[in-house]
Amino acid sequence: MDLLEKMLTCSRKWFRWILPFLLVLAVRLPVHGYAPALILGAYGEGLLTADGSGEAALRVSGLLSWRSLLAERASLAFYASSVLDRTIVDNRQLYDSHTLSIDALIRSPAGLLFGQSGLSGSLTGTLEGQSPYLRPDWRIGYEGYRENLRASVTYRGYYLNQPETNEDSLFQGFTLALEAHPSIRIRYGVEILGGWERWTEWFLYDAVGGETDEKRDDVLGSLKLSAGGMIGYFHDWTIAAEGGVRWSDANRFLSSLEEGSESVLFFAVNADWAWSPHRQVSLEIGTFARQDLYIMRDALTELGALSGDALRVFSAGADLRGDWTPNDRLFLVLEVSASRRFANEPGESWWNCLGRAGIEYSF
Amino acid sequence: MIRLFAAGGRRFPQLAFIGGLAVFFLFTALAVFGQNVESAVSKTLSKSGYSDTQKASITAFFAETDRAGIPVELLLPKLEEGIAKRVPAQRVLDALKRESEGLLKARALILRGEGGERVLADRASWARTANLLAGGISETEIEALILACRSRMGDYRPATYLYVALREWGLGREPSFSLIGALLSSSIYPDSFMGVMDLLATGRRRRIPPEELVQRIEAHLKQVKTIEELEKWIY
Repeated sequence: MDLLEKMLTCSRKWFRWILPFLLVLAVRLPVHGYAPALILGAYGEGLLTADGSGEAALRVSGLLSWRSLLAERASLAFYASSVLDRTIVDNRQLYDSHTLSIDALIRSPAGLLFGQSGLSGSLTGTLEGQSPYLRPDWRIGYEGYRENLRASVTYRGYYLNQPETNEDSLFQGFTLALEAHPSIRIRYGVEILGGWERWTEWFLYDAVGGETDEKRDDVLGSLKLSAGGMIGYFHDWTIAAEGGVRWSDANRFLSSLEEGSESVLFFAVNADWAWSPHRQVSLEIGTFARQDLYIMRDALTELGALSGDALRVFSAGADLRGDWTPNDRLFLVLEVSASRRFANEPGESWWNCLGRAGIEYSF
Repeated sequence: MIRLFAAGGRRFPQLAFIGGLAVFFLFTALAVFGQNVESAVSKTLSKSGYSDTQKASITAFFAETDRAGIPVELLLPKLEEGIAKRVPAQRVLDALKRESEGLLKARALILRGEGGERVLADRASWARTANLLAGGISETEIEALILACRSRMGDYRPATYLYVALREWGLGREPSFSLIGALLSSSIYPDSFMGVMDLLATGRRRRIPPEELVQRIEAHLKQVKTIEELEKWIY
């Protein structure tokens, strides 16, 4: 109830600001829009996890999206989606996740001004293991074009509220991106991210293990290089490599105080491929690998003692999604995903596999 | 003699002189051109293991097609390919005959439509038309494509590649022609036309029916310069 109350209170505050804006838009601006898209889905799914347990579940989902063309050079889009999962074997439990989002685009001769605001959350947690949360997010930026170059600057942020943990945080960051499109077959991108995250319920420890009033602050920086393009007329691919650092003042107290316990260097690679040889068929494959190298945090042994080695975590995974439609309305969907996490600390290693099959109907 | 003509005693045979010159240049040009054809074919054949009789048949075929007005460079790659793949001479010759028949058919078709001469002047477009016919695209569709490209003949080939891809992907004739017409009226570079396929595939993943997405693309094409820019407005 605490979460529900928080959500409702937050929503009311939210709407106090948003409602007048929406009313003005409704009265003055909408010229015409695309037909709203409403998609409903029903799936059966199975989940296997590292502890050897399996779970089966039923999922229903809904998505509503609509873009209104406010003028020749401006548009406003609205998205809402909900997913409900009900486990049906061991413990019958309901999981949920919801997203609301609104975005605006304003075109100028030299580029594009964009803004987006959203609210996502879950009342009961998600099947994937995320605890209940509420997460408003926002983004505003400008994208400029010059021949085959596209440069953008974006400010974005979010506030993550998780009532069942002490991991609430406020993130704010800037992204500078440059993308070159020598041709439609190949594109290159470089992106620099700088950000700051304050953990509002995470307090630092003093030398004897007592909590202080000082809250955890992290500084993030990363560099991402990417490439992508089309192969023939029906294949699209992307590959990206990212390296960065999270520099945190968080510490932890075990037998003694360990400073910088959350500071980490990370390197990640992900590759995606999509193929649609015919309007009836689509196939997407995504893979990722990520290495986290903790700078000062020691890995723990099975008994919980410090091992003397810095914690190293490597995660990798793949997912495949395919669908088929006879008529552009009804879609038969199949999804399979698997991920594995290796670490030199027993508690940090796990794996899981998920399979999902179902139907979606687009109205 | 100059004085004789200058004095006006006898009229200079202007017509006969110009006609003679024309015949001379025509024969010279044909001879030179014929030599070029023969030399290009001989050079290619010299890399083959074909017998002299086989080489003579192939050379004769090229001379014949040259007389029929088919440029040697439209057929030579086929011969080079056959030789590289060590295909027997008779099979290469059969393939060349089919190719030349296709080119003749394509030429007749191209010249039937408005602006056909300009398509024919670009030999790659001529060869592309023959490929379209061989690939099963109907004459009506090709004529419609030529008509759609009449103001941008240089973009005929990218437009045909996109058309074939759209049809193969399952889009109907009407929306395909409509989309190509809109692209040809836009500022999108022809090299980027194929990006439309990516937009359609992405739209499909978002469950937007392709015909509806085509309308959205057409509505925004006038206002954008790139496919990437277009992508922001249509979903």
